[in-house]
Amino acid sequence: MIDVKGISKKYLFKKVLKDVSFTVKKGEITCLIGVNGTGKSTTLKTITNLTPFNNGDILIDGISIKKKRSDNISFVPDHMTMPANMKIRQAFQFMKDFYPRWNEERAAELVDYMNIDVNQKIGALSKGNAAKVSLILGLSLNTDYVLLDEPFSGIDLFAKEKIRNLFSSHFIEGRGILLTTHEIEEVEHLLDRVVILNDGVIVKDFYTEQMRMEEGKSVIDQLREVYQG
Amino acid sequence: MKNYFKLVDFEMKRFWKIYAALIGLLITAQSITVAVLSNSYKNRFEESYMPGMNYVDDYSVRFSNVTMSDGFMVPIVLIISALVFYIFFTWYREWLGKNTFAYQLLLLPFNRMTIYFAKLTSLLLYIFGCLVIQIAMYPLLNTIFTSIVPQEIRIDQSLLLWLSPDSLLGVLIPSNSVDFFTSYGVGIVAVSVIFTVIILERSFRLKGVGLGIAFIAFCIFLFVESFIIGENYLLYIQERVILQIVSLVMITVLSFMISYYIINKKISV
Amino acid sequence: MKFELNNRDPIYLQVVMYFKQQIALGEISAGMEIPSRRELATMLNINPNTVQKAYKEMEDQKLIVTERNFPSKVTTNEEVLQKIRKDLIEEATVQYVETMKRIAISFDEVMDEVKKAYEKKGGKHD
Repeated sequence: MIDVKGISKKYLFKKVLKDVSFTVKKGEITCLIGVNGTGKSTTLKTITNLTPFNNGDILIDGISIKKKRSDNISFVPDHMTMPANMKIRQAFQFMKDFYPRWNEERAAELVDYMNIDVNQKIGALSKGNAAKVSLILGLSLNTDYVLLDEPFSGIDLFAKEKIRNLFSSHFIEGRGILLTTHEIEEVEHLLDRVVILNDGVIVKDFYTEQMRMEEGKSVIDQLREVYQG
Repeated sequence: MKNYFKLVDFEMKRFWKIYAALIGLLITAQSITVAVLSNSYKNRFEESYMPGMNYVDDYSVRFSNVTMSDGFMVPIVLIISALVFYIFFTWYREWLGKNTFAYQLLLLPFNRMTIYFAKLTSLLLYIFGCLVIQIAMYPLLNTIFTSIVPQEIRIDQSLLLWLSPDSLLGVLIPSNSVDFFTSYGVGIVAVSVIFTVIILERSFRLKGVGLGIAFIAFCIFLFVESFIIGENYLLYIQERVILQIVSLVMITVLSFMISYYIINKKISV
Repeated sequence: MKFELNNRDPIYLQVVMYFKQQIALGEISAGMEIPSRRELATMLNINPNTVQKAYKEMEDQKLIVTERNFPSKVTTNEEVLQKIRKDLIEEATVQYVETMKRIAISFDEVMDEVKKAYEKKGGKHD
């Protein structure tokens, strides 16, 4: 379990995150929702030690990331992070060289599924294909937890469909997924749990099916309540 | 350890094309300079030669005349500039552009200080590579010189004398080991300090630059103190040298410690 | 019938309802093997956990049976199958009647409308 406990973060003089607490359990798909700029990306970065936080703690399977950075987490950023002049298969080789958890077979499976030509240069990829490659890089690591920052943003319809289908597949099954998005309509039916972040504060945290059962409300209904009061 | 070597290999491969181009430029430019200058000396002599004249005083040339020339020095200065640029570029490139590779480096599943050491090592390997290549070129360039310039006006020197201490080359390729360690030792310490300042900037931005400047000031203070103490306590020359080395070691260790802490705990993408 | 979900009712119950409808329509036959959790999740494009919940509910309602070491199958119990048909029919009818009652037309008019609709669709009526 990823246990985020009372995280606060100040950037310059603004409090970007205020006492943020939630958990991500293995086998569940949790979604962090909010409008742009509310601190969703920042939260993911604190969990992966890509940005420091001022107060609170984050435990991954019980161990504080302040003590030891966890290698059981995979991060898929919202943009391509491999050099443009690298070929896709060179990026895979890079992962293979440095990550003991790299799963070559799964990478090949995903390449097949996404229909990607690994001989292309990363700089030559369309936004949709770059997003697919970022996903492959992240999902091919044998980690229990995968963090995805806006996996659906700014990509075409068909790429989105392919990526969405991944969430029902064995590539994701059994893992603890935390994704951020501001396009909730596309993914509502895939989520186990939703955490709504507004202005750096958690305003709602619920299980989707429970919310539907008890209050007959969809996630979008909940969002509407938050933003329209 | 294995990750360190793999990372050094990776860093070196990223820069080698530009490096090869620079070396190519060095070899070409210096060879041409030697050939052209040698020819001009030869022609100048042959055109004005009259039997019985004293040519030694007016026309004699040494190889060091060539090595002091602009055509010879400019490529060296160029390479130095490129390497100085690379000290900064090796870090800032990871944040530049739309594919921020910094994410990948900082997420690698081992201590981030390895990145620091890998970049430092690659830089040093490139610098020493240049040195070795320049030294290796000397006999070859000298051969070009001796084959063109007629013996009458040529004054042959030993390799060491070409490198007079007051020339740029003399500083870059010192003829004795003490000077070598001094120049390059201080150089390595300086690079470590610069790396630390860069990491401070990447972690704290503007505040980091302030911290960096304070750190540099402190390092300079430490180094200068080592001289002052030597003066005030009237220490022997060997003792003074030891003091200076100790200060340099302290600065380096401090740089490493600060970088270790900051890059693992405070850096931000 | 295509599975269209809404996001206000629990999805797992919608899946159960969908199965019932498919059984009543004869699209899914008694004793037929149901797809695995992951297969169904991919087919319907939902979270496998939701499928899990749906299957559990269906097992509780005796709609599916699982023998040890065998994939789950739709029940062959006639009683259960008939009840499904009956439940669905009753639900649709109740809904229809409620709507009609709100429009306040007579019982005979309702029957006429039903006859007309049947004939249009080519169904027989006694």
